[in-house]
Amino acid sequence: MGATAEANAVTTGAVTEGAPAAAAPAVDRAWPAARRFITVLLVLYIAKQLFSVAAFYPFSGHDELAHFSYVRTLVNDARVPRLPDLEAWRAELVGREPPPFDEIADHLYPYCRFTLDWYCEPDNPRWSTSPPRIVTVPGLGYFPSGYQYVANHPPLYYAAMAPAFLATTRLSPVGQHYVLRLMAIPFGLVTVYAAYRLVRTLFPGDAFLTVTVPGAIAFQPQISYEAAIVNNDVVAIALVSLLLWGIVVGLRDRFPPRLCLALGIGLGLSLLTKSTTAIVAPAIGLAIVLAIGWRDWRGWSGRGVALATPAAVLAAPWYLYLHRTYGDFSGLSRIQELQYWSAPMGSFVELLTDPQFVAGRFRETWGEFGWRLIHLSPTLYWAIAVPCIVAGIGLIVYAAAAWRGLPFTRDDAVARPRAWQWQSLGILLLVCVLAYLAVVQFGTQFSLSQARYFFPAANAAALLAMLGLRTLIPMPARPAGQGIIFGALFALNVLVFTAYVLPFTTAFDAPIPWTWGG
Amino acid sequence: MAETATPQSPNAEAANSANGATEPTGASEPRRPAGRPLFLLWAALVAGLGVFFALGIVRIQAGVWFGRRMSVRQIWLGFFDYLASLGAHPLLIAAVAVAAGIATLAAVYALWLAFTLKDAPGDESP
Repeated sequence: MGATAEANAVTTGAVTEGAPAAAAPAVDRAWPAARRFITVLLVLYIAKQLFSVAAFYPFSGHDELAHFSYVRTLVNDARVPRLPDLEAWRAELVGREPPPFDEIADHLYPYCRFTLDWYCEPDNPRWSTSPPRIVTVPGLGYFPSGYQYVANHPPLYYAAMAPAFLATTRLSPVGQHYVLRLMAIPFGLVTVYAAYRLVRTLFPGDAFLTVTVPGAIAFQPQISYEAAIVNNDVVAIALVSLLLWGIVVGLRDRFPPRLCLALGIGLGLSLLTKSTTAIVAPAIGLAIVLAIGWRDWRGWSGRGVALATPAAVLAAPWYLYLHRTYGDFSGLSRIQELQYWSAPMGSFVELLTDPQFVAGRFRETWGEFGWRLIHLSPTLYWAIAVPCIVAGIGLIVYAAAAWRGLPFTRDDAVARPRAWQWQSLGILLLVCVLAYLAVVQFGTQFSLSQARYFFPAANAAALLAMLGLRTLIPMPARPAGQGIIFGALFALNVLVFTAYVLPFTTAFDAPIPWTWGG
Repeated sequence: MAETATPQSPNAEAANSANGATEPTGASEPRRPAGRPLFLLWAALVAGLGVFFALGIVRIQAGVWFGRRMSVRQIWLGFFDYLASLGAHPLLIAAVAVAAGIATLAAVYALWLAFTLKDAPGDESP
């Protein structure tokens, strides 16, 4: 089953155009019915997202205010913002006058409840013209308040938003923010389309997966939420989704040079968007070794260089800047100093095995909607969890049945994967594992570890889950099954908007309690 | 991506696309109506959606109205009234409403396509 059984490329130490796996399927064969489906799904998605932009309360998306302020600084001051240096800032305190730092603008104070680290009393007339910029924490001293706490984020997303921000300066901040929300939609669209291409590459003619995988991404409430608010997560999700598609193509076609170059550029851009996308790098490396064969070190190392070079050229300057400015490659040590209220959620092993941690991340995967203010009901969470658990069981059944070549797989092409398809599934699973471990790792340093750090792996998770469900549905019932799954996902969206999002937004301006991250 | 060759279907009139794949013709993709059970299932779901929007009542699960029972129509119309109260231009509110309508109609059609999409014709084992 090894790739070498099918490989017939000759390498000479440089990257050469490898021939695709022998007797590879016609994966790009036209399939009008599938094209029709994905076209309609994408139209549906655009319309849904246009509505979603309006449906969520202004600036209520996670860190929208901070991301908005980063763009504003980039446009107004032609530079990236900086996190305040706590020690230097305290040294400059004169009397009780706080030294300047890159702050979230005064006129955004009415939305202070949607930020971290900004003393929030928007109805207090004392702060109406001059919001608080310094807080005193008993036992810890003075801290800056209302600083741009995403200043350590890579700049690509903000640079991409800058033209739209510049073109809309005549609008109010709320108006500008809606425009920036609209700019997130194309990245969601790319993610849905990448899910479709991922399936069409891996299992070219399977209707069930063609319907359910892009459908799951299009209707996943939190992925859709990311594509309707001001944030850099959606760009990271889109780029990693494209990378996942590219990895599977590479495993099928043995990573030809142009693909390696494209993956390198994609990886570099994703690292310039969000550092958490680094989780995909080891997966790409392993995929190349699997496709080429570990003995052919010239083959895989040459491809590795072709991939790593553009990634490094693109991303290195930013991470060197981070190290020069903050003393590390993430700026997180500076964040730890400033976020006096944050504490580790537990050790790595504790969080990995803590059912409450897992449950919390599951809730955030499907609900919560930024700032953990919109909680889906326990009944609804269970209604989502049960199919997810069933999907997991189905995936195990799939792996066992396909590996052993059980009789019921005989007439099912999907259940008899070739070597490169096994490798692809393994890599997709690896990406999911690495993404979740990154969520756990973040929780060992900060109290705000969140499920959205997993979201770049969404397409991989969706494919594996739907493969699991497909395995458990008898072949004659799959047309009904794929429709029911699609319908259920749409119904979930209708219910979430009707019973949760719209009432929350409509009645929001009545006083509600503001809490630290729920 | 690598170019691949596709075995020609005996009755197909090949029309090569850019990557060398063959466009299936009507002969290789039989147009037979979806089964009656699937149609009934689709119709039931669409009817259910219509009933939900027209007559449904839900318990609000988020925000200051938590626990209240309201009609679905009231919730949706209330949202558009809320946009108007913010000073949104009527055309903008109409655009938001149209977006919701298009999304719903497209979902109904996509649901039909989801039920009726069959495996690609001539799909062989990999």
